[in-house]
Amino acid sequence: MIPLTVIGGYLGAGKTTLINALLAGDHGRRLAVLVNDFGAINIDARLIAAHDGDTLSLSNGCVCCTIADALGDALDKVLAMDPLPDQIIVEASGVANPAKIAMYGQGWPGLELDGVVVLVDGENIRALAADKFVANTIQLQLAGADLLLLNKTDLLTNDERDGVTSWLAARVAQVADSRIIPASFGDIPFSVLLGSGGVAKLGGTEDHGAYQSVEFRTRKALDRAQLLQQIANWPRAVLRAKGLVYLRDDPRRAYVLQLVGSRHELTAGPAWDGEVPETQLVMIGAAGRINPDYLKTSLLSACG
Amino acid sequence: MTDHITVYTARMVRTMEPALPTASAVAVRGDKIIEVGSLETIKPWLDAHPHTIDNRFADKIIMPGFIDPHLHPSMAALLLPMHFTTALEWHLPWQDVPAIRGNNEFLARLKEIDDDMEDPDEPLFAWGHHPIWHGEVYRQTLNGISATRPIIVWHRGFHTLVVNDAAIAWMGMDEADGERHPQVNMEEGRFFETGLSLAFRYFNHYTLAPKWFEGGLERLRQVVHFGGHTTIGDMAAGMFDLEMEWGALVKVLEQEDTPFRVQMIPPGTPMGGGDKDPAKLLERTIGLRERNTHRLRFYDHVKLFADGGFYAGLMQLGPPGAIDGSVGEWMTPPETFEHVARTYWNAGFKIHVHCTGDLGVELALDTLEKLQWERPRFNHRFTIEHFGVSTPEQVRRMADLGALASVNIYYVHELGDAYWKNKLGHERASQMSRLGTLARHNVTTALHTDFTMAPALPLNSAWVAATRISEAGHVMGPEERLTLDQALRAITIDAAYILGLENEIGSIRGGKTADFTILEQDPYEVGAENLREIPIWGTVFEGRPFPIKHRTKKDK
Repeated sequence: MIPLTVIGGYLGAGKTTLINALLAGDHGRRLAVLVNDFGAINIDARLIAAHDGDTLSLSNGCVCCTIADALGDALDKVLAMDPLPDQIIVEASGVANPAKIAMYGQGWPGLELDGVVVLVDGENIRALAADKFVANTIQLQLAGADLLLLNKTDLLTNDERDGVTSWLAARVAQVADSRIIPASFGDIPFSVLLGSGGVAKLGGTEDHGAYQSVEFRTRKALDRAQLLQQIANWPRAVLRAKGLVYLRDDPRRAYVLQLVGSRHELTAGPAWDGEVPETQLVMIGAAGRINPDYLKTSLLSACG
Repeated sequence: MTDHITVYTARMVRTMEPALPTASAVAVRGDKIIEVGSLETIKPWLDAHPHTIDNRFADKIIMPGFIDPHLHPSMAALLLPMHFTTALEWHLPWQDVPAIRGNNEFLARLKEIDDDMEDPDEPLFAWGHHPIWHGEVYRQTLNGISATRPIIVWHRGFHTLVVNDAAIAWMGMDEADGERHPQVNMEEGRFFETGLSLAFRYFNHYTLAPKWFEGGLERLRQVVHFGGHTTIGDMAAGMFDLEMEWGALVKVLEQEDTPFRVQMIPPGTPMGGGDKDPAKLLERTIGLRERNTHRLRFYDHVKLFADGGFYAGLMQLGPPGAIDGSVGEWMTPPETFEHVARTYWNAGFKIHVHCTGDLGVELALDTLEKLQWERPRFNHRFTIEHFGVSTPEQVRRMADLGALASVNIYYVHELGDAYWKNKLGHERASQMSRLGTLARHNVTTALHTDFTMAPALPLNSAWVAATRISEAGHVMGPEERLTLDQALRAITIDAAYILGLENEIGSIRGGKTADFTILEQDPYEVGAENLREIPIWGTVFEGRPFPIKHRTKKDK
């Protein structure tokens, strides 16, 4: 299964800048990025390995394709590539409800949903949310996000930034302020944006001033109900978590825990198959806002 | 033979030209009308040139060939090979589809279709299910119809499919993919909204294959003739795949015995988005004209999209919104819409805008006003298409800005009661497709069917326009009715104006193309209430008669 991440947000929120950064970024991952409009993609020509009609291949292994007439067709085209990409990013159109596009990650053959990241234009969001044409569209986009990236904060004073952050938090009732990630030019670490990449790639996450990662391992089996209850109580500063879980009620196989902002899932994974079962998780959150000891204690208590 | 004149006499020629509204004979040379009048008035032509008096229409009514400026041949090609199982009756060239009401009746009809099909493995695609009239159907219910034949039941509004076990096996899809999809319910065999894309992933090889698609287009060819059309507009040409569609259209429709032309109006941007660079958009759209044939013609008209589909309930509504609180969709972001509209406006195009809700109309008119301010144009033919929900003030503004309307009036008939009760309330539902207000403000207005959204029968559209009778028998918004004459203009000369072809077609006068629709009864005599019952003998297209081959009673 290839993870699919949806990047949504209204026109001007900075999706294209972010996508350009993802395509050219030094993240070691082979991304397939599906965009609506090729014209806006702006990549250093030295990075372009091939340009074939509606597909742009980069020397770092990433590809960029246009969605053309149907998203399903574009996804199938990517899924037929050899080698397969590590992750697929879909740029939602400026008026799309990204939660709808996320459904392709929840049922398209070969894909699984990573998460929905919605970019917010810090300067204009309040005007857009009151606009006579797009107010409802904006509300749907905000409500459909797992992570909200409050972008263009460099254009705001501190007071303005606090003002729009609390406005946004109030507007999207199910999202507390720490899942609103402040950014400028979409500049946040890839691990927050895309997840830690692969299952339990311990030690592979980079630290980035404002964010920190916490690793957790144990060979004790966890109780499913207690684990889910603990996670539900985690501080909202935890932006992502991913890894394998060793569950007491199904000890023969690993489970995969995936948390992206406001959403988490625990799904059956591969059999341990001779390996010593071990829970291996990585949590990523806002530096100073997540307490590694708290998270470790929380997880250990689910072993009780 | 080029100077040989044929004179068709008639019980009545309804010219749709106010300067000479009725006549008894029309003289045709080649594909052109020479003169309309009486045998006496046209005598100088006949004295000067060899001629034949043709009395085959002597007891019939000659009207200008009917025009539907907005339908979708490709959508029809996809749908027409399917079995129609609808709650409202449909008259198709090969079949009169009776109205099916009730769950048992729906299932009995499916069983009947299954029994009639010769090949036991051929998938049964049925279109037209609607829970309001047919109750729910599930995978298990369909398994009861057949355990071996794939059965696919498609919703009237296109947003839900239900399939049986045999269909899932035929599709070859992994049940696990369906089980984890939030908009697929495998237990019920139901695919909805985005889940439909998953289902069509497994159908496309079948329904977009030449056998199906060209077969569907052949049926579309019969449907268009059957309705009495001589001109149609393909109002989003290339909606699935331009090259595939164009190839099939040329092959099936560009035939000597095809009695109509198709004006091709492409989307201003590729349907899924794509490059918005003005120069490239224009180059692509203008370049399409190079491929024109005699009957299939791209020209200086282009289609843009504002808000979502009307049958799907995705129109953008202004205050007070929908009863159920649901919100609509934009098909194009408002800023992008303005940008693309400006590109085509400044290049002199005639722009048609899909608008279903009043907020969609508002976007189109705000944009038009801005473009008029920047670069005034006269005779620009900016046309609001569909016009489901609107306000009277918007109509006045349309008149001020020179906008035109092409209206789907069938909304009132099929959805009037449903949207009254479930979505809009009576005040707005009864004023959907507000034709009367358009007429009072002298906004040139055409009727269209958006076929397959409504039956491609212009006299049926004119009947709804002049009566506003809903499927449940209510008169919805009597003040928004057209007069009989206005309704007939909206399927002839005013529809020609919407397509920018009023100098060639749409009325009967000397110099125009000889396109006629031949009726057995005079619409002005039978009156508005009986318009849709008028039998159509056939058409004359570019001077050549094409009778409709009517079915015998035994045909199915």
